[in-house]
Amino acid sequence: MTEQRRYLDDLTAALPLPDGVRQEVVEELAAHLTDTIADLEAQGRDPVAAEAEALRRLGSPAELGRELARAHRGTDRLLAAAGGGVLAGLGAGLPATFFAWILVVVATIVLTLAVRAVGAWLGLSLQLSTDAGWNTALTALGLNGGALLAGGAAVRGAARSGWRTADEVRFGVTVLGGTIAALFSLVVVSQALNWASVIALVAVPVSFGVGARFHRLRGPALSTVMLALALGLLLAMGLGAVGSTGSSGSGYSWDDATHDYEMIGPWWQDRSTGQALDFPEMQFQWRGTGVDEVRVTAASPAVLAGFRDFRLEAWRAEPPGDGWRLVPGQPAPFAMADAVAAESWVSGTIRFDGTPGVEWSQIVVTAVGHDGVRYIIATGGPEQTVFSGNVVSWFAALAR
Amino acid sequence: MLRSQLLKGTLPLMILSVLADGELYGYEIAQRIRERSSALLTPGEGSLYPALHRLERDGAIVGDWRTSDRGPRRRYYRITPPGSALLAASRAEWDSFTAVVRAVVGTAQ
Repeated sequence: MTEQRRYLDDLTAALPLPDGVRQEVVEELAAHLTDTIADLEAQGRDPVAAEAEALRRLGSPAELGRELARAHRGTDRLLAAAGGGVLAGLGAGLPATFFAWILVVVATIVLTLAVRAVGAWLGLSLQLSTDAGWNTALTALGLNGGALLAGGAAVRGAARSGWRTADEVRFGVTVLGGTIAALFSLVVVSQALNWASVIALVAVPVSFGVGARFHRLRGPALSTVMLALALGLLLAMGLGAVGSTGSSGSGYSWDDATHDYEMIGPWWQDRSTGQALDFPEMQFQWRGTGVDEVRVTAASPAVLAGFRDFRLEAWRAEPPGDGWRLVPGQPAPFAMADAVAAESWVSGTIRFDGTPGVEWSQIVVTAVGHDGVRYIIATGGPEQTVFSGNVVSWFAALAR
Repeated sequence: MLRSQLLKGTLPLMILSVLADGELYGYEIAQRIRERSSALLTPGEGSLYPALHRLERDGAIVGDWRTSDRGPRRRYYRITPPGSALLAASRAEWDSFTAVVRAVVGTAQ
């Protein structure tokens, strides 16, 4: 390959212009080199020196390519770059998100069966933690796959439409696309969240940035990255499953909690007559995940007589395995709501889906007695809950 | 450096000036500028083509390909009516600029 050919190839590579325009520009420069070399040879230079001098006069092919591209594009190319980037990003990101999600779901099913098989072999009750928060995590993993592909496609699309090199558009694409991805994953997506799903959602704009940085990443390399991400999350779920079977025992371990209440069931004693009465009946009306309407009915108005400041409280419980119990060492309930008492019943509605990281809860009804001590009036069974909202509200709740 | 920057800034004016006399292709434009300046000005060839393409993008000149009996086909440029108007305005601006600079700097004694 001659020096001239190599120079023209480098110039071609440095020209981010449509094929037809690029060919004409290179052809014009090739003709210029031919003329210059012919003139220099006519002046007595040998062919090699003439070629070297002609190339020297044109300067660096990269610099010349950059200047020529700049000369060809007007301000409309900036708009075209933005449009091309958005279209290419969406075009690649949406189907990629869908396929990545399908891939993750299939992998989850396979892993679920594998965990059960291993559990059966070991004689343990193993299962994947697939509550609503984990479902969001799986979806978010799909979003990461889409964002990864969208980042690369947006850089390529913006460069192609804007007649610019990938290096020239990368920063703008990363900032603009990353902001859009962050707004979507951190604000728009409002779902059941756990720590895994929060991390996966926070990673979405990062994935976009990684895709934009490595915009040439395609095929097997990209599949490897996606597989590694999926396996990482599924491994975390698997570990969570093993951990969930670790709690054992039966009944409620109130003794471990540092609260001021006293357990007074399963019988209630009428203070005035000494007659034993049934423990107040507690009825739950489900108003959505993490929202309960509670009504407690006592056998006699005397049961509730003398109590004041009725309250619904939600305490953290550990996930069910062989048995389940309250999380030890809780200084206070994680959610509370006032309750109304009248004659022999107490009722109220409690929302307990606003605390990050809580997966199981127990609702109790408490009130302050004659002696100023707060008593448990009634207890419910364990109830699954999950934080509902977007990532921003998750961190805002944590900060509170 | 100063000379190079001055030359680059006035390159579009010089291109339009030589094209006002007739159609030329890139290499000829460079040669014509060199001849008119008695070989004192040699536009950097790396600057010439970006300047030509910018003028064409702005509609001041148009280019078209022509085959040649000798050598490769070449892209000839000619000035357009908007280019002529731009040339006239640029000349007036240049005259005014040089007059002002001369008034400030003075002339060699």
